[in-house]
Amino acid sequence: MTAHIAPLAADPVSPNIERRTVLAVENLGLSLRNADGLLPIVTDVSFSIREGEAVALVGESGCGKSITASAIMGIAPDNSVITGTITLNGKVISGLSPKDRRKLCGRHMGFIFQEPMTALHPTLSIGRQMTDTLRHNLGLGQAEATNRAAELLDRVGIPRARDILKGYVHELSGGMRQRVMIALAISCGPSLIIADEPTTALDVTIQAQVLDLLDDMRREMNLAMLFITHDLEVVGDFCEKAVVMYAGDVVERGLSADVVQAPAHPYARGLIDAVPAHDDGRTRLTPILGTVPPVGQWPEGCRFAPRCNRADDQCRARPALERHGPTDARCWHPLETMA
Amino acid sequence: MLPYLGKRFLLILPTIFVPLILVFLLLRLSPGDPAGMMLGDQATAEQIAALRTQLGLDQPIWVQFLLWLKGIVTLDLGNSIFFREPVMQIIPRYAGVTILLTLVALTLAVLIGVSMGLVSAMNRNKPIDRGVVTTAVLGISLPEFWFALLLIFLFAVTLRWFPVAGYNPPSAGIVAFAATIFMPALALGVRQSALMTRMMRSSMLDVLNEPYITTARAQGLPESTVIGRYAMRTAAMPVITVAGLSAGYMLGGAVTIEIIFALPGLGRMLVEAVGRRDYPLVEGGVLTISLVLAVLNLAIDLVYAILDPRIRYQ
Amino acid sequence: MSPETVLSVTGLSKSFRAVKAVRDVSFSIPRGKTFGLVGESGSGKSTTARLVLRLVEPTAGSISFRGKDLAGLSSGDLRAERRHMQMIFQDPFGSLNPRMSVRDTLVEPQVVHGIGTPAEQLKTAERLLAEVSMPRAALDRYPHEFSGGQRQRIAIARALATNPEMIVADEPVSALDVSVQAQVLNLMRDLQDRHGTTMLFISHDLRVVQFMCDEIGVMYLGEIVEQGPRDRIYGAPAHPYTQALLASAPGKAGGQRARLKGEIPSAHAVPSGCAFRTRCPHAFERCTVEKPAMRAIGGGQKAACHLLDAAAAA
Repeated sequence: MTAHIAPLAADPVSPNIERRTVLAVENLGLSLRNADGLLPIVTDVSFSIREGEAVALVGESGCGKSITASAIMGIAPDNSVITGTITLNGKVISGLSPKDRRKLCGRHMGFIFQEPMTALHPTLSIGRQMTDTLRHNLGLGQAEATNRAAELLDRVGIPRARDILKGYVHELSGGMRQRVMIALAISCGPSLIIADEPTTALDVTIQAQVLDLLDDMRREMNLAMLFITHDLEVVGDFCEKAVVMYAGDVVERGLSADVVQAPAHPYARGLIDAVPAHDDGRTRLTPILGTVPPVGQWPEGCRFAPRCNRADDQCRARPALERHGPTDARCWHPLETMA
Repeated sequence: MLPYLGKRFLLILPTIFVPLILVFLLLRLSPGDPAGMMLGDQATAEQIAALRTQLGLDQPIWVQFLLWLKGIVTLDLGNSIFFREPVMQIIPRYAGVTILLTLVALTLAVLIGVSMGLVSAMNRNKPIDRGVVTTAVLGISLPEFWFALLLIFLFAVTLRWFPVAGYNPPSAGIVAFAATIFMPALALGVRQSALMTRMMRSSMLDVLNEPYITTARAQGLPESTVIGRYAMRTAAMPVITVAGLSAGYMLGGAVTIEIIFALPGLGRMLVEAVGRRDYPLVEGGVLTISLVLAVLNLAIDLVYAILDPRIRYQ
Repeated sequence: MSPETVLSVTGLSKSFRAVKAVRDVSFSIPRGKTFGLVGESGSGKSTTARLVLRLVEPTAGSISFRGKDLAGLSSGDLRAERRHMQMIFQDPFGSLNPRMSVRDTLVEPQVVHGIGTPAEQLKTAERLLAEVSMPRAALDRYPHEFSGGQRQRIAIARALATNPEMIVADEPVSALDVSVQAQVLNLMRDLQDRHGTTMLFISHDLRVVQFMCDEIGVMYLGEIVEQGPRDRIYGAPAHPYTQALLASAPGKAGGQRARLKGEIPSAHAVPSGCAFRTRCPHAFERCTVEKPAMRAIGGGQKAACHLLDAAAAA
C-alpha cells in the first residue's frame, strides 16, 4: 500500500536538538480488583513522549488503550491496582496520592474525549465549565477567566466566542463541540495532552479540520500529545511515533512511518492489511482470523498466537518487547522488514 | 423561558378544575341529604324542603354547576352549611396549618433524603451504604401512622421533649411552633425521605459514570466541586421530580397525621365536612388543595427550567 | 427499463414537516451489482435506504423493484415483495431479537414468507450458518452469546434466508473493529458472488465503499451530487464535495489536504441554489441563485456543479 506520511520536517523542533521528555511510562500494569481477585487489563506498557511530539496509542476495542490513558491521568476506576512508574516532566507521579494527582490534571495534563456531547456538562454553560477550570487551576478572577475563555475559544476557531460561552453543549454542532473540548483541555497551559479517539465520532470533513487544529496546537504550544486511536491511517498522518497495543500488551513500538509501512509484528501488519486501502483494486481483504480475546481470557504466552499464522510452539512462552529492524516488537517470529 | 412558563401555567388549569368537578359530582350523586343531616332527626319534611330551596339543592344539577362555577370565578364559595359563615373565611384558618406541615415535612424529607442518598452513593457497597439502603427499604415499608405513634412514644411519652399533640401557630413563637410541628412533619416526611434517599443514590451513581464527570476530574477540579456542582446539578433532577410527587402525596396524606397529632388542619376539616355533607366547605377545601398543588408543581417546573437549559427550548 | 435492472429509483423525495431529508434522488442498480451511497451524517443516505424498503413513505418519486412500482403496492403485496428485498443494519445487536435463538432467527423469515416445509426451513438455516462460517452448534444459542462480528454474520444469514434478489445494507460494518470488519466485508462479497445478489450499500467510510461498490452516489444534504462508476469517482472526482471528501480521508494526501470549511448545514435551512455552496471553495454568484442540474461527463459519471458547465463551454 502507499501510505503517505506527514512530513516531519515542518516540525518546529529540529531533530538535532535534544527534546525534553515530558511523559515516561515504564512497565505500567493495571488490574481491576473484583470479587474473584485481580483481573489484569493492561500489562507491561512502556513508552515516552517528548515535547512537541505526538505519539499514537493504537489498538482495537478492548486492547487497554483507553484505560492506559486514564491511569496516566490518575482517573482510573477506584478498584484499579496500578504497577510500574509514570514520570511527568522528570517527576515520578505514579506514587502520588489521588489528591496530588488531581492537582496535576488541567494544569499539567489536558484530556480530550471521543464524544464531546457527553464529555461536556449538559446543563452547565460552556463558559461556566471553562471558567471553573481556569479559576481553580490558575487562580483567576471571574472576569479575567471569562476573557481568557473567550480568547481560547477564538484560538480554536470558534466564531462569536462570547455568545458561545453563554451557550450549552447541545446547541453546538459536533465539530464545534470538539473545538470547545480542545479549548478546555489546553486552557491551563498543560505540557501533555491526552486525546482519546478525538475524531472518531466526527464526519470525515470535520475530522480533518479537528486533526489540523490539534496539530496546530501541538506545534504552537510545543505540546506532548498522546493520541489514542484505532485508525492506523490517522496515525501515519498525524503522529511521529506509534505504540500498538493488543490484549493489554504493547506489541509494537517505533516511528509511525516504520510501524505503518514495515511493521515487524504480525498483528500490526494484520491491522494494516485489514483496512480496505485507497486505489489498490483488491477484490478481497486480508482479515485477522478470529476475534480479540476478552479481558480475563487471554491465552498464555503470546496473546496473539491463536490468531497468528506464524505461531508455533515457541509462542506458548511470552515474548519480550525487543528491537527487530527499525521497531520494537513483542514477537518470536517477527516479519522481515524490507530494509 | 417566559413562553415555557406561560405554557406550564396554562397546563395547571386542568389540574385544578378536574378534581373540583369530580368532587362536585361525587358529593351530589352520593346518597345522603345535607338538609336532612343538618336539621336532625326531628325535622319535618317541610323544614327540610325549605332548607333545600335556600341552599339551591332543588335546582337541576347543571344549574347548580353553573352557580358553583360562577362562585369560584368570583371567589364567593358560599357559606358553610354547618358553620353558617363564608367558606372563604373558614378555609384560611385550617389551610395554613396543613401547608406549613407539608412544607416542613417536605424540607425534612429532602434534607434527609439528599444527604443520606449522597452518603450512600459516595460509599458505594461499603457498610454505611448497605446500612442506608436497608434503612430506606424499612422507611418505605412503614405506614405513617405507625411511625407517628412510634415518635410519640419515644419523644413525647418517654423522653418528654415534645408535647404529645396540639398545635402552636408560628405567631406563638418559633420554638413553640417547632415543638408542635416537628414530630408530625417527621412522621409525614419519613417515607418520602426514604424514597428520595433511594432516588438520590441511584441517580448520583448514574451521573458519576457520565463522561462529563470524568472531564471535570480530568480538568483538575477538586472532588467537592465535581460532586457539589457538576454531579449534583444533573443528579438532583429526578429527586426534584420525586419531591413534587411527594408534596402532593403529603398534602393528601396529612389527614391521618393531623388527626393523630390533633392539628387543626385542612385534612381534618375536610373529613369532618364530608361527614356533615357540608358541600360548600368540602369544595372549598378541595379547591385549596388543588391550588396549592398546582403552585407547587409550577415552582418545581421553574426549578427544572433553571437547572436544565434544554427544557426551556422544548 | 432494461430487464437487467433490479432497482430503479426516480425523483425520490422525503420531507418530515419542514425538513427536506431526501430531495429528488434517482439511481438504478443492475442485477448482481452493488450501488453505494456515501455521505456524512445528515446527508440523507439512511433515509434513502428506508425509502427504498418503504419503511418510510416517500413524499414524491417512484421506486421500481423487479419491474413493479413499490410505491403503488398494497400492504399485502408489499409484504410479499419484501421476501425479495432484505436489510442488514449497523447495530447487529439491536436488530436481532435477543429472545430468539439463532435457529428461530433464521427460520422465522422463511415461515413468514411461507418458504418450504419445517424440515426444509431447518435445513436452510443450517446451510446459511455454514455459508457465513458459523458452527452448527450456534443454532441453539442466543445473540448475546456472540461477539459483534458474529452477530453481524447471523444478521447476514438472516437476510439471506428468503433468498432475496436484493439486500440493503446500512452501515453494516461501522460498529465493528477493523480486523473483524474485513472478515464481514469479505463474507458479503463472497456471498454476493455466489448468489448474484444485488446490493444497495450505505456507508460513511470511503474506503469501505470503494472496496464494496461498483457504482457510487455521493450524497450531500439530501441530494446525490455526483454519481458514477467506482474508478471514476475515486480516480477523477468531478464535484468539489467529492474532491474534498476524498482529500479529507486520513492516509490520503498527507500534510497538504484541501480542507472544507464549516459543517453540513441543517436540513431545516437548505441553502438556496447549490446546497453545497456555503462550504465550497469554488462558489461564485451563480451558485447562490441557480441550482446546478445533474450533468453527464462521460464514462457513466455525472455531477451537479456549475463549474462543469464552464469547463464544457471552455
